Amino acid sequence: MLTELQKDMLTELVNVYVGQAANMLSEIVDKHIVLSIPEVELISISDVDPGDRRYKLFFSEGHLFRSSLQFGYDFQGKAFLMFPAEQAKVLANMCLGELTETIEPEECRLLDTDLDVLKEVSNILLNAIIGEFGNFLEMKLEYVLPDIELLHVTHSDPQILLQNEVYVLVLHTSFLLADTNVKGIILIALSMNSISSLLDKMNALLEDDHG
Amino acid sequence: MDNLVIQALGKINMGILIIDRQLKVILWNGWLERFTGKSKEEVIGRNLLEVCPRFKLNMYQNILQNALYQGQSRFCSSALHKAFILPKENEDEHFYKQNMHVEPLYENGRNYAMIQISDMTNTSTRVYKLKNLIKELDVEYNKVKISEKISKHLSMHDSLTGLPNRRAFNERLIWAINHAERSEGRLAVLFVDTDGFKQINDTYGHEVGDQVLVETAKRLKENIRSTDSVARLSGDEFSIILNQLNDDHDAEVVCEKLGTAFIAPIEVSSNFIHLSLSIGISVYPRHGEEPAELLRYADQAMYRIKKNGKSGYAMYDSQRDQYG
Repeated sequence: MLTELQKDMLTELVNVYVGQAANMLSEIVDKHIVLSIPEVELISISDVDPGDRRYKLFFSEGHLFRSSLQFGYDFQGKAFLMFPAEQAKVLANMCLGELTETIEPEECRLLDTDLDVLKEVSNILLNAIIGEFGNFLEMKLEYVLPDIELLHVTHSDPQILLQNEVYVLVLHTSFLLADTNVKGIILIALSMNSISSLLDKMNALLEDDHG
Repeated sequence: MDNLVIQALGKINMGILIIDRQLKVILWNGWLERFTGKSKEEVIGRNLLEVCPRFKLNMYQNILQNALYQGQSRFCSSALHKAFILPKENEDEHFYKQNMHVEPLYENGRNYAMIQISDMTNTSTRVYKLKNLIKELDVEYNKVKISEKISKHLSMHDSLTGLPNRRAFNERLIWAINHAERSEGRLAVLFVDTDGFKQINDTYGHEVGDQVLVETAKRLKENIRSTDSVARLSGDEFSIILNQLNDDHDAEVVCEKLGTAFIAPIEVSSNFIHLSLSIGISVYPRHGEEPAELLRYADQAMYRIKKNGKSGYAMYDSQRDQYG
């Protein structure tokens, strides 16, 4: 869907955005957090290959932490940040200063405070990414606080996560702190207009570079 | 209607304040009046940073700027932040737990930010207690699991020699027979009785007798394969399961080896005690297929050795081995 050049450009852009979010998070939790987006893709969710390990999150049964943030006006869509519940617990513990390397799925108990912490983390991250995309496209944005949910996903559910066949920007995320490496995924479902604007803007920039 | 909205804001169970782009307080609701003791007349029109010094921190100024200039909403969790608004200045920021929501508002082309403060002190205390309770339960659960493991071990082992007891032996024999049946293999049951143990007890006393049994268990264990099992059935009676035998003769080879192992005397408290073994053998499936049957036949074969002068081994023979 994206050319290599477009992918590289988006990856670079998004890493700058999440770098700011990581700084903010580091300041709040008073620890150095590295947050990276090693890979960015633009896909139709219905085209995802269930065998692709990067999308394991969608196709494995289990509990899933999901935070979603609706944004609108000129740049429109919905962003999701998702982690398997046990990874979400590691992230919450890490922010609360309770370091745990791994959590077994059956030991994963997300308490009220954990959910609040995850709500703030996702708020910071999604705001940074969506806000900067808005700035990049020079488009007006309106957004609200993210909604958080703990879902139980069964094999037949992946499509329900995003109810319609939509194009999504997939950002594979990685939080690094001490010995932990929490991996999650950010999906940004964009309206067709927003996708076109994004691609147009990137193509214009790339042409400038090569022209 | 405006009056009703103002009354509702006054009664609502959370702090709500609105500021403009100059951070001037426009609205200060009843909850904040009650919590801080500062009336709206005192606060409205003043700069937020003077009223609530916590917002002087860069982090919070950025959050406010993002709401006022970028339209960003922001949630701050009580778990990650100290209290935003205190009842009095210089009070402990760690004691009060508050969640904060910052939302942009717009009116007549102007931007405002609404700050909502929810008191989470009780919830945090509850979560803290709950976390401790969960930790305690985990510790207790682990203790119970360990003690169950110990009880199970004790109930299946002989406390003197540490060998499996009769109950454990019966379970192992059932398992071994099932395995042999599935793999069409053969196994042997040895019934081992020490010769003259009563006399040792009478001559040297029970303490020495016990040490002899411990050494007997050790020698038996050392002279079988790790895949075989030895158990203490009672007193000076032991039993051995020899798994996966190629032929019946293998069991006799093991009995020879066991006999040799007891040629050297057992040294206890400077006493050198000579002990020999009488061993009966039964083989699955040749002599029987039931655990009790195999043990009984091995016992009967052992009695033949006892009757014929002790010290040695014998294979079960249905013609020759009968009690009495």
